[in-house]
Amino acid sequence: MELHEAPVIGPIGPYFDGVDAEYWRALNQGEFKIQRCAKCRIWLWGATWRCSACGAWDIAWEAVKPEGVVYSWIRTHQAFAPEVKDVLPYVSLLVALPHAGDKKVMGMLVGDETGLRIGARVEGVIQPASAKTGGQAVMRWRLQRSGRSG
Amino acid sequence: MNLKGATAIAGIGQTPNYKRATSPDSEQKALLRAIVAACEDAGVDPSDVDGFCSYGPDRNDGTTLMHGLGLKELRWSTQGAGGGGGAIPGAVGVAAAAIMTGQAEHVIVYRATVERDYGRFNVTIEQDHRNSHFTSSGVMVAAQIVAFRTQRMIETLGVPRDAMDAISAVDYLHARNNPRAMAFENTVSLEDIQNSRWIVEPYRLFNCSRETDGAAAILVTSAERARDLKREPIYLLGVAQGAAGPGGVCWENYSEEEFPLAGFSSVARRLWDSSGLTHKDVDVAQIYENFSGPAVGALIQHGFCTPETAAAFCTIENLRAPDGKLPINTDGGCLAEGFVHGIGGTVEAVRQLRGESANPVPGAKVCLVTGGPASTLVSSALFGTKAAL
Repeated sequence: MELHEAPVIGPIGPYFDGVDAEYWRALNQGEFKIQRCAKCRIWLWGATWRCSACGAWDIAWEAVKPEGVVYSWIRTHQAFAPEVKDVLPYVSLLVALPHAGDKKVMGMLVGDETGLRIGARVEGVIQPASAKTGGQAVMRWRLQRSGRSG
Repeated sequence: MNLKGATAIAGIGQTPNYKRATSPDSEQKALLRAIVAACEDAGVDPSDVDGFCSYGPDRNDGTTLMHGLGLKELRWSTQGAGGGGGAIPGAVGVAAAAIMTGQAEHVIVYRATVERDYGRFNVTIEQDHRNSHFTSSGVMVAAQIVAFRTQRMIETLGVPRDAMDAISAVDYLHARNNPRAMAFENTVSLEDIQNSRWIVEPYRLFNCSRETDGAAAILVTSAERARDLKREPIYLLGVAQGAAGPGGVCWENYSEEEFPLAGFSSVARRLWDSSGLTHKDVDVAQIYENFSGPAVGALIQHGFCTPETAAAFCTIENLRAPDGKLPINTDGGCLAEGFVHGIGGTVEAVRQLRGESANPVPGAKVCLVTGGPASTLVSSALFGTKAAL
């Protein structure tokens, strides 16, 4: 699956109570951000209203260099939603972020699948907002190739 | 207050299993039939039921059931909250808490799923969890979420997929003898399982549970009251529910101990500690297998094997009735008997301990039931005959 082909399922965007609104807003501006406690500086994910480590209510959103390591992966063959039937089978990932305390985020793999395994290095690339993505920019992940910078 | 032996299951009731969306009855009517059958099994008038506990979330709370049952008084209307099917058998513990503290006398633990009324279970069960991090990643259903965990069990812990395939095979083996099973008289072999089509890697078709229309109910009461009723009581020996932190819905960032397995690290410890039993006391087990991968995790986390010994332990010979080291899923389980959100395992525990299973384990005194592996909340319980007290 190429980057421009990657689908989303249904309308996407912030959770109804707004806890992750900044994540989606930042992607639309070309930045990959996740949460970090403003007081104890621990990285936090999924999005939360209160720091699970120190109890602070002041939670910051910080830009993270979009590099990661495959923590786990699945390859979906069944069309669980109509939006994905043209891209089957496709790979979804959990990506550990070494630049954000190894917090894991969900994502979708685009590009060549050769070398996919737990521990493989991936890099993030933002898929611009389009009709395919419901008008929201989305983070996607590619396997890093040896000899390639970044 | 000692939980062990203080309460008992006095009656069970179950509709037939129907292929999804083919129940002749509405969900509520099917559930009323199951509850009335459980009352008749126990010898309790349905109007004397005074409490309810479901999970899931079931759409039929106690207030919706009291009219059809003619309840004199509703005293306990509860639900095991969170984690989908993980709260069964913990829901029996909720019933026991009411009974032991005098807040109710006859509590029905139940679950009903009728797709005729409500559509595909795999969609409705997930709709509250599916935020845009899932749907932008192409992740929609429980099979996919749990598959991430099993992939790490296989690739990082080195548990061969043969272990989970053996669980599927033993389910189908047991269903052959169970007239209630969707897969009654099937001929599915281990080879068929291992050649079946991919659903979501690492799961093939036969690693996944069905969706079944039906309902089941379990009548829980005090041990003292149960001894006055029609059937030999099946005692609750121990129960625990919950999740280890960091946990709950933030499943992407579970601990390394928990992620590749099934969520039972704290629950299994509390189950054994509170009951005074160990895995060596278990004669037979009903291991909830929404997907057969986390069922292997449940066996590991309850102490029956380790990641290193899982493949040697999880074989058809070891897991089958009547002669395996640990016969499991003696009704055919969620994969082959039917899947009404996993309540069948608790019903089968009662049948097995009464000597009425389609695949009896002679002399079985203690049955382990595990619920909802790899869901955000899980639970486990131990049930036993009088000889186990």
